[in-house]
Amino acid sequence: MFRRSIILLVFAISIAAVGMFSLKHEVQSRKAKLDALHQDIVESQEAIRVLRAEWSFINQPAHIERLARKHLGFVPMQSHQIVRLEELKGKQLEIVKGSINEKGVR
Amino acid sequence: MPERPFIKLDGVVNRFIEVAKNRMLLVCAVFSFAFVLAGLRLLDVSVIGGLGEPSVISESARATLKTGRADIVDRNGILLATSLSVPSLYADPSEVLDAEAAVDALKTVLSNLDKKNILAKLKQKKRFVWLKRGLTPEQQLKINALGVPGFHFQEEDRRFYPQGRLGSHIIGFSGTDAVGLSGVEKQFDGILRDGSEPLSLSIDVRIQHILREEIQKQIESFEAIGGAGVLLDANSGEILGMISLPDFDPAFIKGASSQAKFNTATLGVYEMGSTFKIFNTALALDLGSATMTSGYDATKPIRIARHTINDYHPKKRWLSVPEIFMYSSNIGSAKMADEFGALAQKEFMKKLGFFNQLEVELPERASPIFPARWRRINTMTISFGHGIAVSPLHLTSGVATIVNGGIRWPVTILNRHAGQQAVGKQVISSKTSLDMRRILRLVVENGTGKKASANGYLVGGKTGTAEKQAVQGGYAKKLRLSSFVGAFPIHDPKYVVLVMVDEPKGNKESFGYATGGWVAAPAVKRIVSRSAPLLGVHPKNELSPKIRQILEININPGGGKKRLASF
Repeated sequence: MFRRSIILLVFAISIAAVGMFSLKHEVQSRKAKLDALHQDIVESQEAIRVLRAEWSFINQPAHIERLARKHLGFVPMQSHQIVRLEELKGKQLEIVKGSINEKGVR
Repeated sequence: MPERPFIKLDGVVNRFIEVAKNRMLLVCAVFSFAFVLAGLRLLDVSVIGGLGEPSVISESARATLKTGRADIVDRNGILLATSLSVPSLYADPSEVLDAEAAVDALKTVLSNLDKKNILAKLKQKKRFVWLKRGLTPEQQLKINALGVPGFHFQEEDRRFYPQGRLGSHIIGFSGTDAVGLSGVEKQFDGILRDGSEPLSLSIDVRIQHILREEIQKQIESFEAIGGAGVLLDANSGEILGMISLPDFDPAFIKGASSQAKFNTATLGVYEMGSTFKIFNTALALDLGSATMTSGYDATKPIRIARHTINDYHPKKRWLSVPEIFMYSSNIGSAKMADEFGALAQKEFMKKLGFFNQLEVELPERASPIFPARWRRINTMTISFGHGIAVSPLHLTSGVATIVNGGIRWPVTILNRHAGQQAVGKQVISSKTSLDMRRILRLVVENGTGKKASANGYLVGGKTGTAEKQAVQGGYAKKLRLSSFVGAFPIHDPKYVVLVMVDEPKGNKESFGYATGGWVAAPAVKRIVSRSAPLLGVHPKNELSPKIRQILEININPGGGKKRLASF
C-alpha cells in the first residue's frame, strides 16, 4: 500500500515536471513569435508611413493636373457645365436624347 | 523468564511518552491544517478563482510605432508633413584602423563626399562622429557591404514634406534634430513632439495649388517681384489657402533666399491703397454720416498741409457714395472721412484689428504701422489706404467682417471641427454689410474690377493700386502694389479672396497698365472659377430677378449734382 502510493506520487511528480517544462517551452516559443509579430507590425507601420508620404507626394495637385491634361485631355470645369439636380426637373427628355458622347465630355 | 524492562517503567517514563504523543499529534494537526489551507487555496486559484483571470492575454499597446513628431495634414487629411526614420552613418574613430582606406572606400558609395573633412573627423580623439546623415536604404546597404570596421548606422527621424512648395510658408520647416524652426512646425512644436494624432490644418492643398498657379502666372506676365494670395472662409475665419511668392521647397531649405522664406501674407505690412475704401465707406454708412444716396463734391483736388489729394480718374463733378466707391475717388473718400473724423476712424480700425499684431497661429505675425499722432491729413489719407500699413491677412480678415453681416471672426490656420465655433464680434450692422455687398458688386459689374467677374459666381470686390514708398522717402510712382480683394458669391458671401502682386510692370496686353484691375482682378476671376466647384459653391444665373433684387442699387440718385449730405 505504502510503496504503491510512493510510486504513484513519483509518477505524478514526473508528469507534472514534464508538463511544466513543455508549458514553459510553449510559452517561450509563443513569446518569441509574439515579439516577431510586434516587430513585423512596427515594420509594416513604418512601411505604411513611407507609402502614405509617397501617396501624398504623387497626389500633388500640379502632378495630377499634368497627368490629367496629358492622358485624359481634361480641362478645368466651367460654370455652365455644372447643373443642380433640381434644375433638371422637366428636362429629362433632353438628357435622354443627347447622349453623353455627343455632349460635352471628351 | 527475564524481566520485561517496561514493566519496570515507572510512572515518570510513562508520562514522557504521553507528552511526546501529544506533541506529535499537535504537529500533525498543525501540518494537516496548513495542507488543507494550501489545498483550499489551490482549489480557489485553479477552479473557483480561475474565472476571474482573463483566458486570453491581449497585447496591443506595445506594437505601436513611436515617431519623434506627429504628422501635419490638410483639412482633407492629405499629408503635409511626416517623420520617417532614415539611417545615418556615424563612426567610432578609435575603431577605425586605416582612416585613409576607410574614406576611399566610403567615397565609392558617396561620391560627393568632402574627403578632407571626413578624414579630419576620423582622426579626432572622440568615440562618436557623424559622417553622413539621412542615407537612402540603397546607400546603407552598399556602405554596410564595404565592411569598414568602426562604421555604424543609427536610425534617425527625418521630416518630410510631400507637398513640396505648396503651403511651405504655413507649414514651415524643422531642423535636423526635429526642432520646429518656422511656421506651424514652430508654433505647435510642443504639441507635435508629444502627440501622435496628426495636426489638422484649415488649408486645402487644391486651393493652395490654384492660388499659387494663378498668381505665379500674373507675376510672370507682369514681371513682378512677388505676390500673395489668401482665400478665407468668410463665416468662420478659417484660412483655406494662403500663399506667398516667391516660395521655397522645404526639402532644400539651405538654398532658399531670405526673400523666398519671407511670408508676405502674414509678415509683410503694406499700405494697401484703394481697397481701404471698403472700410471707409462701411464706417460712413454704419455711422450714418453718409447714406447710399449721399453725394460729395469731387470737382477739385483737396489741398491740405502742403499735400494735394487727387483722383486717378477725375470725374470733376459731384459723386454719390456708390460712385465714389466705383470710380475709386480719393477726393470723395477723403471728404467722407473728414466728416466722421479721426476719433471714429481710429475706433473702427481698432475694432477691425488693424492696430494689433495678427492673431493667426503662426510665429510670423505682422504688427501694423499706423500714425502715432492722428491728424486731419492722416484721417484723409487713411480713407484711401495711405498712411497705415497692414498685412494682406489683416486686410482679408477685415473684408470678411464687412461682407459677412458685420461679424469679426478670429482668423485661424487650424481646422475648426464641427461644433467648434469661435466667438465672433459684431463690428458693423447687417444692414451696412448688405449695402457694402451691393457696392462691391457694382465695382465688378461697372467699375474698375470688371476683369474679376467669374461668370456664375457673383464676385464682388475692390481693386487697389498703391504706390510703394521709395527707399529715399516719398512715393515711387513706378513701384506699385496691385491688389484685388473680393468675396463670392456676393449676395451671400461664403469666401473672401485676396490677390496681391508686388511691383508689376505694364505689358502689351494690359496696354501698359499695371493696376489692380489689370493685374490682380483676372487672377481672382480664374481662382474663383476654379476653386468654387471644389468649395461647393453652385453657379447662379447672375441676371435672375431674385439676385438682381438683392443686389439692387441706385448709383446716381438725383443725377449726382445735388449735395445731399452736409459737409
